[in-house]
Amino acid sequence: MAMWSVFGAGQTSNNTLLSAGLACGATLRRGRVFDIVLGSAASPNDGTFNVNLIRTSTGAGTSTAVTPTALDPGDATAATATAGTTFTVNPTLGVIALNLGFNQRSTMRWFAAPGEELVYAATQYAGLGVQPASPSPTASNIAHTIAFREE
Amino acid sequence: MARQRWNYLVETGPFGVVREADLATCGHCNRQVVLTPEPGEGVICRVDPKCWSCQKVVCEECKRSLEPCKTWERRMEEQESHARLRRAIGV
Repeated sequence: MAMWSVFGAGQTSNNTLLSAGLACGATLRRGRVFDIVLGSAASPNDGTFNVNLIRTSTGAGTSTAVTPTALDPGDATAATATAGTTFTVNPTLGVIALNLGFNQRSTMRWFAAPGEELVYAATQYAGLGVQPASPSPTASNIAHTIAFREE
Repeated sequence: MARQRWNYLVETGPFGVVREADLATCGHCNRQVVLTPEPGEGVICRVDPKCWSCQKVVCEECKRSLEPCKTWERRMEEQESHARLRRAIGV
């Protein structure tokens, strides 16, 4: 089964706009997020990251597009999901699936047991986003890697 | 019955592992439920026993909601069905 990851460094300067997002594309396929790594892309410094992993729906929002990369380089199938980083306009935000508070010097990794993934529906724009929540450092970006598969 | 496998969360700092926790996925809302909460940790809900209907771990919020059992799978099917209907009628 094909698996992809999206990665980049998104803003924390605004505690409302998403730092990163992953959503179902025009070709409707359910997505299962099974691995998330979050850390700081800035110089080591003491500060707080308070990050919500939040559900999104209805509208893509505005962001810098990120192309999902196949985890298996031999896999020629492209992901149908769309991804973005540093949102300037949010999609509609839903419930918080996971809240993480951690030090800027730390790296946080969450991964799912098989069958226990964070799943989004096969509905266009349904997805998951990484939202910095107050208080978060204003000057450092959140480096993220989100691995997922589609069914 | 096979042993339940949990999700896993680990925070690694400059001097090694800062904390780690097992998590469960709520069978009703798909939220992550920390099984080993620490004081002051960013925990949104704590684990509660399984739903007697679907036999999945559910979070406290879902347990308190008094709604009849509806699994996340079922909720997604409904969401997809509504989207298909909206597309079919051009809304």
